[in-house]
Amino acid sequence: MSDAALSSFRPARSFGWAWLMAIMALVLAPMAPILVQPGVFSGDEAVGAWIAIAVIAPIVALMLLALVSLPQMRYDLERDALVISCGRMLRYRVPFSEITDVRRADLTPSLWSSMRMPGLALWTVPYADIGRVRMCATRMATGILLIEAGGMRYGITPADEQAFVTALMMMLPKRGH
Amino acid sequence: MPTILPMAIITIVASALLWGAFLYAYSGRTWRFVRLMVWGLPLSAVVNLFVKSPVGQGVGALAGIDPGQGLDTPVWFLVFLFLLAPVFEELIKVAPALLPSVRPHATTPDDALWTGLALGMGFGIGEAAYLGWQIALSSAYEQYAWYMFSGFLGERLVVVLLHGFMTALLMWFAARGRPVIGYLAAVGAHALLNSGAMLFQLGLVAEGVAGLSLLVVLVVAVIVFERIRPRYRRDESDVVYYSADD
Repeated sequence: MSDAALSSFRPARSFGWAWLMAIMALVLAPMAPILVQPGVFSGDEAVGAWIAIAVIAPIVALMLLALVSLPQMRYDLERDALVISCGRMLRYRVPFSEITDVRRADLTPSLWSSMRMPGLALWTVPYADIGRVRMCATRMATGILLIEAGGMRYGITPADEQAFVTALMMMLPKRGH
Repeated sequence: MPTILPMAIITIVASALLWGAFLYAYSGRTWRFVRLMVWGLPLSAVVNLFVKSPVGQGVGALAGIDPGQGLDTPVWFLVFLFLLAPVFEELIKVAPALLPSVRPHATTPDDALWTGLALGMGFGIGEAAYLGWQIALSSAYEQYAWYMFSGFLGERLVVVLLHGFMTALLMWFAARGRPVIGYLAAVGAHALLNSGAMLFQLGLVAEGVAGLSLLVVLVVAVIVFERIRPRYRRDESDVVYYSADD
């Protein structure tokens, strides 16, 4: 919990880390010949192999960063804003005054590339039904707590959703009737 | 033991898990369509052993053409060989949809899309097994360790999905009363997918360029799929905690 946070909430548990590791293994698999036998390629093949490494290395680095940051995912309620974070690699600040809608929804993922897989969704994820959502969640599409603010949508998955929503409601502007 | 065996097993298991989960999630969290993948599994071996091979060899024998002549092969025979896979594979992939147990799953365009995706992906997984078997039978690959076949894993993972797309497209059009257009679209996509490999085998393009056809078809398939697939979002299932509009 950060110094400024009045209360802090953890995300729901998931096996997103296992999917992340499995996908990382799939990404690394084509590199197996080079990793196991560094001198296996020569000439044009070696050039191709190095190009492949140059493409794959940043992807693997990003996945490793996500993997080590996952335990730090949390949702902090500060004095004037909700702060959604996942270690140093992701931080969204959502002022309470800008929040116009809070709901739990099931979303439909699209095929477009993004950092989302079963049990994990990070950064901006395009969904087929509602468009782009800034995600910091341990579920990909079901039971997402959607927060609309300032023309953006944020998706989170607090472990204790009711407690989080109750605390958040106390911070939001009162609705007129 | 054939050296490709571990990679072939990894490829088949990874494809089945990944694309099975994909179909389950995208079709509305139901196993109804995932189960249909089984029907596609044996079809690659069937069409290769009992249709493409005899037809290709038969026509070649009738025309007196020896296979494997590269660019010296008559153009019409090259085109014929090139079209063998798209024409017959796209037909056999939808054949299970005629079965009484499968037909009810494809009565609407939406359901037909998922049924086609399941049958095509099942075919793709079966094709990975068939190709793995063919490579295992060939002595040309004996000297390679199992991890040298990682390209097989990467390519087959993508191709399984693309087989699903092509069959889904055919089934979707068929359910809308336009099966011929659907068939031509599937055959065209399949031909485009195979064009890179064909040109590479003829020595006309480099291996890297040949791989571009796979990438082009993948991107086009994703664009088309995102446009035609059904959406299952239901606002009424949302739990609204707060709305400034209230």
